[in-house]
Amino acid sequence: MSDIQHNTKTVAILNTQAPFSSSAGKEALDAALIFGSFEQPTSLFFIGDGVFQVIGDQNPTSIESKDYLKTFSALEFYDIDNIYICEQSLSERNLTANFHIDNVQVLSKQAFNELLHQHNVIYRF
Amino acid sequence: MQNTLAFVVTTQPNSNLTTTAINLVHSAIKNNVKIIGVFFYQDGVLNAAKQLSIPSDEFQTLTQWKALKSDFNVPLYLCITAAEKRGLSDGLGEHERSTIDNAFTVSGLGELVELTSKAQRVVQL
Amino acid sequence: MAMLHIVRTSGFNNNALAQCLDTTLPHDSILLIDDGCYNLQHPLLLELLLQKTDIKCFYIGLHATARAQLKPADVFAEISLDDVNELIFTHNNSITWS
Repeated sequence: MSDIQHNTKTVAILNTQAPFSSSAGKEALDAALIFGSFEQPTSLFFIGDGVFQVIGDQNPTSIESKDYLKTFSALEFYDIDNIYICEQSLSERNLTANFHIDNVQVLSKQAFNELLHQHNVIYRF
Repeated sequence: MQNTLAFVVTTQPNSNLTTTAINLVHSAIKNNVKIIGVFFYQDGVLNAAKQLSIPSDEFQTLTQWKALKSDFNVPLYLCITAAEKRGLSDGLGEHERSTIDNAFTVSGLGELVELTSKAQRVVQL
Repeated sequence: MAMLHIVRTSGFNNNALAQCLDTTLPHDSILLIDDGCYNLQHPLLLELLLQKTDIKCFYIGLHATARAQLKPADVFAEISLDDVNELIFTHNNSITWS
């Protein structure tokens, strides 16, 4: 494991899909939590339909979907504090800043892009 | 110093996108880039299904992956959680036979963390 | 930090291309591979490349001709799969839009 600590890279997990019809969101979160558990500096980004993963008042169990959204609350235990949401994607979808997780940052397109560019590795889901 | 690269493959074995991935691995090797590993995640895990039967006049992705491993020593890592969700088995359970080709190393997302930290660049395909 | 955007799908079918273009910053490069080559004729991409001349756009010649995408505009540069290696290492990072 010392190898990993010596070569730490910043990792961005870019979420672009809505939560239930594909397993992309859950598999993105699984990956984020593992990077976090290995103490890799990891950030989550939500753009496009990816913002539907973080909005409040969802009810996954009513459609027999496992509520993996609850697992987002585990992020803070792995020191994943950088959670960024694209403001333009919210407004395009007529969404307000009502989220089921705390400490998210809603960013302008420019700020969102600049932060995304600063990561060494970007995985898109 | 030799450039090092890791790939993350998420596309299905019967897609031409996977053919491109295989060709890119070959081209990297030809250009003296060291491939430290290919990690199979999401639907990409299906590439490891040993019972996959693609008509003989079509591109044989499994044969090609196996050749990359045997001829060029390219490590192939499989996310077992994603694989089991898609019907693959490592044969460790009682009365279970492995359905994973032995060219693939059964591993977890921790291996993705390792590859991410070790490679100079990571490309998702 | 210059980023390499690897586009693998047609912008006529989904919005990955639009999202990619929305995410570019000056000095990024765009690489069209696989069905991404259909974007050689996409108005959104053509418009962006004419407006932002510091963004380069490459495409895999083999993938384009296989799809009968034969006469791309001058803003596009044709490369081979071998050339992709150089792009990977001359950019700081990459996003794959598939």
